Amino acid sequence: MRAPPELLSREMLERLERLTIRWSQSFRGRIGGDIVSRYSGVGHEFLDHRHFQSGDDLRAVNWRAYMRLERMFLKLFRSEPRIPVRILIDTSESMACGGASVAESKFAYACRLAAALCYVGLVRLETIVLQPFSETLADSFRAHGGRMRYAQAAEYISSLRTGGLTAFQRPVRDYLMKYRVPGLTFVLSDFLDPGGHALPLEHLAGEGHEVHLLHLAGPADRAPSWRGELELFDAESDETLVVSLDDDSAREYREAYDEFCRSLERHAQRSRAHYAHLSTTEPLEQVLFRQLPATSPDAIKAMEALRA
Amino acid sequence: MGLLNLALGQLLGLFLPIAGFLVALYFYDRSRRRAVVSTLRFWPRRLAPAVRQRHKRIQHPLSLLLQIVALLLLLLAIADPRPEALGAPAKHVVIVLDTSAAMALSDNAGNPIMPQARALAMAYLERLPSRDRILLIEADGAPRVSVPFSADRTLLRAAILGAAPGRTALDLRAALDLAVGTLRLALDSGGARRACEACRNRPRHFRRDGFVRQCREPDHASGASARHGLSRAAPEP
Repeated sequence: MRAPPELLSREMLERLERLTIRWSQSFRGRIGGDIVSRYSGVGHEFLDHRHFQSGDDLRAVNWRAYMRLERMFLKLFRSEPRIPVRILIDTSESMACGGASVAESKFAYACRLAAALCYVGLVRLETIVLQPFSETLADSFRAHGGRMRYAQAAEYISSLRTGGLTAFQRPVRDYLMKYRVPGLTFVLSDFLDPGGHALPLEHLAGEGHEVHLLHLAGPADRAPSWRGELELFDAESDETLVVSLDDDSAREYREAYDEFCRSLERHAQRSRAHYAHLSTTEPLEQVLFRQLPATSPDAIKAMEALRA
Repeated sequence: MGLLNLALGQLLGLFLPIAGFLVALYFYDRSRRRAVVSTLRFWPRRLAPAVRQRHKRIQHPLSLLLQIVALLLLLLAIADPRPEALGAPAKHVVIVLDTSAAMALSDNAGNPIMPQARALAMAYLERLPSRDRILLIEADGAPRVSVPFSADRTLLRAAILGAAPGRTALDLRAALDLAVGTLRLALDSGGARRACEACRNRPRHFRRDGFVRQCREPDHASGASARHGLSRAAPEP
C-alpha cells in the first residue's frame, strides 16, 4: 500500500503554523532553538549568578559586580536548546488495515500526521528526521531549513509504502546506534509487535529520548463491524483463523484490545513516555490542537504550569 | 397453454442459468467472509470448531426458494403465457410481413430471405392461441391487408405461404400506420359485430364507459363479458 499522494491541504498548513513542537524534558548541551531549557548555557535571557571558578568563560563574568564587591561572579543565561525531532513511522503491513478504505487506513493517517508534525517543526526552523521502520530501519529523510523544505518532505512521505512485519527490537537498537544524541522521538505505530514492544520502548526512553507513543487504530481495529462466520487473515503473517463473531465474542475482542491499549499506556508511564491513542476517524486538526501533548496549546500550558 | 413471447426452451434457457447464478450467489453470501486484519491476537479462538460444522450449509432455504419462485414468475410474465383452457379473452394480433424487393435476395450464407421470413411468421402463428384474431399485412412500398382480422388459421397459413417479394422498397412506417389504424378500427367496432349470447344483436345493452363488465339486462348480467369476449365497450347505436 502506498501513502496518499496529497497529504495536507493548504488551509490545513496555514492553521498548523500556529503550533509549536514542545518537549517536557531538558536536553543538556543543545543550543540554538526556540524552546527554553531549565539548564543554563549560552543564551540571551539572564538566569542567575554563581561564583566564578577556574576555567569559566571570562566573557560571562559580571564585571560591574566585581568593581563593587571585588569578587567574581559568573552570569548564567537560560539556554535555548535546538532539539532534534525524529518521527518513527511504522510501515509494517498491519498499518494498511483497520479502515474501510485505503484513505482511512492507519498508514495513510500516520503519513498525514507525520507530514503535519514535520511542517510544524520546519516552520520553527527545527530539524526533523523522518525515519520509517518495520523489521528494520529504512532510509531516513532529514528535513531542515524552514517551511520551504516541506515539499521535499511531503514527497518523501508520499513515496513510502507498507511492507514487512512490526518489530521493535531491532529497529530500536539500530535507532539508538544511529542517533546517539537524545531528542524528541515520535513513534507512529499500531504497536502490534508479536515479540513485545515494552522492552525496546523502555530502552528508547532510558537512553534519554523524550518518547511520544502515538498509538494509531482504525475503526475496525477496536470494534469490527462484521458479524457471522469469518475467515481472518493476519496481514503480516500467513496465519488464518476461522471464527464466528457474535455480540459476545465482539465484546470479548473489544475487551482484549482495550487491555492491550491500557498495558501500552502503563509501559509508557513507567518509561516516562507520553502516550496517545489516536483513532483514524478523528480529524487530524483536533488531534494536533487538542490531544497531542507535544503540540496541543492546552497541554503545553499545563506542562509549563507544572514545570513552574 | 402457450408462451407468446418465448418458447419453452428459451424460457428454460433463461431460467436455469439465472437460477444457478442465484443459488451460487446465495452460497457465496452465506459462506464465511474473508477479511484481512491487523493481528489475530485479540480474536477469541474457541469458537472456530463450531463454525466448521456449519460451513457451506444453507441457513435460510425459504429465502432462496422465494427468490427462485420470484425469478420464475418474472420470466413467465416476460414470456406472456396464453392459457386457453382458463378462458382468457382473445386478442387482436397484427403480423406485418415484409414483401419488399429486398426480400428476394439471399443472406450471407446464400439462403434466400423470404422463406425464412415465412417460416418465422408461421412459427409465430402456431404459438398464438386458436381464438386470437390475426391481421396479416404485406409490407412493401404500398402496404396492404392480405388477410383481415380472422381466426381462420388455414386462410392465414395460405396467405403467409403465398406471400412473395414485390418490386418496391419497404415503407415500414406506412405498414405500421396501417396496422395501428386497422387495429383501432377493429377494437372500436368489434362490439358492434359481436354481442353477448343472451342478447344477440343487441349491443346497445353494453356500457360505453370503457371496458365491458357485464350486460345491462338483469337476466343475463352474469358472465356477459366472458361470453362476449370483447375488450372494449360497444358503442351505443
